[in-house]
Amino acid sequence: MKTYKTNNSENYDIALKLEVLAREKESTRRKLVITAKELALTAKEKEKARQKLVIIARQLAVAAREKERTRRKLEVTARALKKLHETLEKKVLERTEDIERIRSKNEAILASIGDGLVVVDKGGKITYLNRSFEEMLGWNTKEIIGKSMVQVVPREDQNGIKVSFKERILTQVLSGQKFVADLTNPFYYVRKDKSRFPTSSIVAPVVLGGEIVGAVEVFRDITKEKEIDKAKTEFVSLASHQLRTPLSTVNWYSEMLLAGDAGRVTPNQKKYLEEIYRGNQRMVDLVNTLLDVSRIELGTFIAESKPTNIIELVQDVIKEYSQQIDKKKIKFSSVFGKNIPLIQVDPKLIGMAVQNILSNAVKYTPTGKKIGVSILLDGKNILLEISDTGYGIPKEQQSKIFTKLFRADNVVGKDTVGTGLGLYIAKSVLEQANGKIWFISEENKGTTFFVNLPIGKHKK
Amino acid sequence: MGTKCHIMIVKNIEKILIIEDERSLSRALEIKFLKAGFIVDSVFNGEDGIRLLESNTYSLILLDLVMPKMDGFAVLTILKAKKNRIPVFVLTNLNQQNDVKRAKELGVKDFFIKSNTPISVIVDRAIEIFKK
Repeated sequence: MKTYKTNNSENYDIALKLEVLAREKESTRRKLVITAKELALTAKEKEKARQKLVIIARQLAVAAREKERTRRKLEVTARALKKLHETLEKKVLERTEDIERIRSKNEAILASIGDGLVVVDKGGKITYLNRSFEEMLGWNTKEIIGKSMVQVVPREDQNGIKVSFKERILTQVLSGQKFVADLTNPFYYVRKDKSRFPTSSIVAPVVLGGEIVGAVEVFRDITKEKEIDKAKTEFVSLASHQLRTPLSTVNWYSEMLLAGDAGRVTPNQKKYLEEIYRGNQRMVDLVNTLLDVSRIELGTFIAESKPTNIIELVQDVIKEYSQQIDKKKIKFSSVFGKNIPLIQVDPKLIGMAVQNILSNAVKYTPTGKKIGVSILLDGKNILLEISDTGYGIPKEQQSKIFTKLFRADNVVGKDTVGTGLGLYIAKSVLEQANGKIWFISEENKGTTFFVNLPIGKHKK
Repeated sequence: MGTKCHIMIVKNIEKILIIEDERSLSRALEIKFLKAGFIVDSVFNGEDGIRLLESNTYSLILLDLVMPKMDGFAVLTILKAKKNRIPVFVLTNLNQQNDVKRAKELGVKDFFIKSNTPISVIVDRAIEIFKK
């Protein structure tokens, strides 16, 4: 090999060089292979990237389409909104017209209600009145709007006595009373021309946020009702008079039988006859009471006032009941003040009132309990008190006690004779005499009636 | 017509005229007054009453107010015009104050509400008058 080497040193070198070259070539080839591989790899990535780009491009296209769709939709919505807005505008306009129409309709209704209607503010000043008010009272809106209802339209009782500012129901409602209807006591409204008409009215407060801001009063002309009521009373009066004739017959003939005018009667027959007589007597009393009521209502009771000793008058009434008082073993006491002056009243009428109050005390006080009567001077008035420790009046029925034909539940079963007219008569008679009657009562404890009578002149 | 005459021999020979249209009441009065010894004539309306008064003398007239033909007020008016001096008792079931007042103005001696007055009270009152 050395020879080869010597001889061929040049060749060797060349071979070496060739080897180097081959190696380099190999290396280069390898590098190239690597590079080719790398390139292939890059191409793959590139492809991948391209594919990604394609996807993104697709996605972008989708998004763009979506956007376009949304844009279109928005456009549609905008159009719809615009339309809606226009419709709304139209509707608001229509509704406003509707409201206006309803408002005028309401006002027309209010204005044309057959009953008088007036609205006042917190201070009682008129803020609205309807046509019926104008027609009934003769005032027109312009004249009295803003003025005090109580002052412009006076209210009177049956006797022409003006109801004071404080006692007007409107004043009471505005001062916080819940609701007041005045349908029982007839009163009159005075027109602009000073004439008057009977009326019934209902007043209710106007409450806003828990506060009374005014009141509404509705009133009616009850002339017709009064006429009907009068006809009814006249009928009662006529019927009662007619009833008196047969009652007289029974009275007189049973009296004659009892007196033996038709021959002797046996003790048993006498007992029966007495029952008939008593029964008939009760019927006579009832008819008399009905006639008193009809007379009060027709106003045909003519009071004949004269100076009257009220103590004597009351004592006379007490005397009428002394037998019953004794029979029921009632502890009776009386106190009469000194220097009680004569008072100007009709003794018959006042006697009737006192009789009705005392007879109730006797009737509704059980055996062994107490009744007291006192008469005292109270300034310019006489104060009569009739108290008992009887059954009393149930609280929930106290407001009705002066109502015609009303009888409290707790006594209806105890006494069948009552008519429910006594206190009605007493109140009517006393009020006609400018007097007052009121009471305090507790069930099963007793009742005290108070009567106040002015010493001065008796009216009518 | 409708006239009855009863004569009894008793202490009171006063003659009474009853003018009352309600038969049962008229009869009751008749019985009672006859028993008390009066002489009694009864008629059932004002017209007959006036007719009897023209030809008879009475000491007392019992007069109803509400009657057919001629009522009690008409009778009283005629009697007043004739300057009647016979006492008149009005027996009625009217008791309106103005009826009472009107009757009294026409010269009535007494005024009784029939249903409220025992018949004996009326007889007693009549006897009382004649005692004086």
